[in-house]
Amino acid sequence: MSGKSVFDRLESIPREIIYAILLVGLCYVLVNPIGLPIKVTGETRELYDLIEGLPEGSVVLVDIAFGAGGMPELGPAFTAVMHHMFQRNLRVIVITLYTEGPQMYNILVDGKIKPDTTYGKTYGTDYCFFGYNAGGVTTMAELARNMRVLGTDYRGTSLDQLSVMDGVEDYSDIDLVITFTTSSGGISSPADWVQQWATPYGAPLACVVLKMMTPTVSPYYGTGQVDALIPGAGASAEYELLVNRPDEGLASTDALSFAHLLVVALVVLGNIAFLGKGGAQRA
Amino acid sequence: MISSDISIWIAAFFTITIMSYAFRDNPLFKFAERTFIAAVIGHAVVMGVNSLRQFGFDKVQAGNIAYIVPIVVGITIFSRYHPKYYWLSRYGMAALVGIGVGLELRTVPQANIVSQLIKAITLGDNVLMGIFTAMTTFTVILHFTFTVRKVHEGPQSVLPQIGRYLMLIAFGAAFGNTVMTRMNLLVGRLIFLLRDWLGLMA
Amino acid sequence: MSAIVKKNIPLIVTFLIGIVLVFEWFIPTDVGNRVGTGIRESGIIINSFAIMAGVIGLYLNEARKIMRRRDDWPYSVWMIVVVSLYIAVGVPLGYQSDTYQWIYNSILMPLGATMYGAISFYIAAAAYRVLKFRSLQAIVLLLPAMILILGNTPMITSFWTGFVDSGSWIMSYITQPVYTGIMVGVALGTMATGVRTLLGLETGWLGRKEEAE
Repeated sequence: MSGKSVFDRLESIPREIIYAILLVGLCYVLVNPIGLPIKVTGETRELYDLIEGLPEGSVVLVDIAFGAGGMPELGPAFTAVMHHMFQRNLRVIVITLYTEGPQMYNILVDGKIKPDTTYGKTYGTDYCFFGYNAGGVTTMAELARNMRVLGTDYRGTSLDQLSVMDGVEDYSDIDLVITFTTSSGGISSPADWVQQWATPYGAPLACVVLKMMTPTVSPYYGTGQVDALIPGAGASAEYELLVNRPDEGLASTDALSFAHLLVVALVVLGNIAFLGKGGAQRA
Repeated sequence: MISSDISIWIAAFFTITIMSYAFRDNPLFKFAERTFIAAVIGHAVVMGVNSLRQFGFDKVQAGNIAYIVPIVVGITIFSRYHPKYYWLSRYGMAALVGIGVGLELRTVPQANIVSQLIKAITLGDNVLMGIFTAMTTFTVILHFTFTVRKVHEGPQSVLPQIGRYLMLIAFGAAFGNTVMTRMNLLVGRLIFLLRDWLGLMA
Repeated sequence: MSAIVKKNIPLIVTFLIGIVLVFEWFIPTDVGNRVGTGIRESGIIINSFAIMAGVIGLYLNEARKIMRRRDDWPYSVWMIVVVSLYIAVGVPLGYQSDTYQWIYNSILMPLGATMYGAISFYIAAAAYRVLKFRSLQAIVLLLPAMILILGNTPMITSFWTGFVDSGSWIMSYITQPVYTGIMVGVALGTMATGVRTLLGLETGWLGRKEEAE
C-alpha cells in the first residue's frame, strides 16, 4: 500500500483550491464586512498636517501618475486628499504626464468628487487641469521654470485666462507638490520629482505611492527631499477617516485583513508540510 | 440590483476573463490579453496626437514657425520600421537620448549620491542606531563593489556578507509590502464586480 | 549613405544636446537658458511622436501574421480593429470626449486593473508552495516578510501595534539604509552610462546597424 503521509497530502493541495478560497473568502468579507476600527498612522498624519498647515489660497500642484493599474490603491487616497484640499479652500492645479491620467481625472474629479456641486468650487478659479503632456521628465523640468509653458489647459483655454493661475509663474509660487504615482523609475516617478523639483529648488514634495514602492522611495524621505511618504494601501482608509469621507479605502480593510491572514496561514501550512515531511523522512 | 449599463457588463466580462487565466489558459483570456495590448497602443496614439495638438501644432498655427523643426525631427522616428531609411529615426532618438542624459547628469549627483551619503554618515540623536544604519549602507555598497577584488577576499569579506544578509531582510520587508499592494488591486476589482456589476455590496 | 550621416552625426547631436543642458545648469547664462528652454520644448514635441511609434510596429506585425495565416491570426485581426477604433474615435473627438471616456471605462480600465490584480493569485500560491524555511537565508528573508504582512493587517493592528512597530523599525533602520546603498550604486552606474552615452561609447540606442558601422 503506497504511503502518502498526511504531510504529503498537506503539501499537494491543488492551486485551484487556494485560488477559490481566496476569491470566495474575499467576496464574502466584502459583502459582509465586519467593520473593525482602524488606527491612523503617523505617515498618513504627516500629509494631513502638511495640508492643514497651508493657509487658505495656497497653491498645490497635484500630479496624477497612475492609471487603471494603480486605481484601486491610489484612487481612494487621491479622492480623500482632494476632498481635504477643497475643504481647506486651497488652489489646486492638476497635471499629468501619464497617458491614463486624464481618464483618472475624469473618473475621480469630475465623476466622484464633483468639486463644483460638493464644495461650490469653480473650474478655472479654484482648480484647473493642464491635461496630458507627452514630454515626461522634460515637461516636469520645464514646468519648474515656467508653469505656463504648456500654454493651455485640457479644454484648450489659455492658462492666462484662468484666475487660479494668478501669481503662479514657477516653482517658487507652488506651496506643495503632491504626486500620486505608481512609477518607480519611469515617467513621473518620485525620483524625477526629487531630481527636478525638490533637490534643485527645495520644493516641498509629498509622494503617495503603492505600498510596495515605499522601500525604493524611503531614502529620499530619510534625507528630507520628500516631506511626506504615504503608501496608498491602508493610508486611503485612514485619510478617509480624517476627512470624514468613507469610501472604497475603508470598504477594503476587512478584505485586506482576510487576504493577509490567508497568506500567512498558507505559509504556515506549507512549512508544516515541508518540515513534517523532512521529519518523517529522517524517521 | 444587477447593473443594466452595457459598459459595466463589458468591463465585468474583461475582468473575469483576465482572472480566468489563474485557473487555466483559455481562448477568452487570449482574446482579452490581445485586446489589452491593442488598447494600450491605441490609447498611446490618441494621447500623443492630443499632446501634439496642445503643444506643437497649435503653437505653429499661432505663428511660432520654429516649432516645425522638432515636429519634423519627431516624424523621423517613424522611419525606424523602414528597411532602407531606418537610420533617419536615429536623429529623433539622438535628441531624446541627449535630453534624457543631460537632465539626469545635472541632478542625479546631488539628489541620489551626495544627499544620500551625507544622510548615511549623519549619526543623528541616537548615535548607536546612526552607526548601525551607516554600517548598513556601507556594507551594501561594498557588496556591489566588484572592481576591487580584495573586498570579497580574506577576513574583510565578512562585510559584504553582512550586507547581503541585511539586503535579505530589506527584500523580505519589501515583499511583505508587495503582498498588500497586489491584494489591494484584487480587492479593488472584486469591489467593482460585487458593487457596480452585481449590486451585492452597499 | 556614409556611416557619418547614419551614425556619427546622431552621436554628435546627442553629445551637443547633453552637454548644453549640463552646462546650462551649472553655468547659468541668459543665452544658455534660452537654448536650454528651446531644447526642452523640442524634446516635449519629439516625445509625443515617440510614444506613438509602437502603433506602426503593431500594424506591421499583425498584418504579417494575417497574410501568412499564422495560428492566432484571428486575434491579429481583432487587435487591428481595436487600435483603429481607438484612433478613429480618440483623434477626431479628443480624449476629453464622453465617448472616448466610455471606451476607456469599458476596455482599458478593467483590463489594466485586472492584469495587475491577478498577480495576487500567484502570490497566494507562492506563499503555499515556495516560501519555505529551507535555509538560514530563507529564514532571514521570510521572517521580516511575515512581520510586515501581519503589520499591514488592519484586523491585527487595530488591537495590537507590535507588528506595526516592528515593521516600522525594520523599514527605518534596515530597509531604508539598504535601499540608500542600492540607490548610490545605481546612481553611480547611471552617471557612468550617461557619460559613456554622451561620449558615443554606448550605442545600443542606435538600433540595428549595418556592417559598415
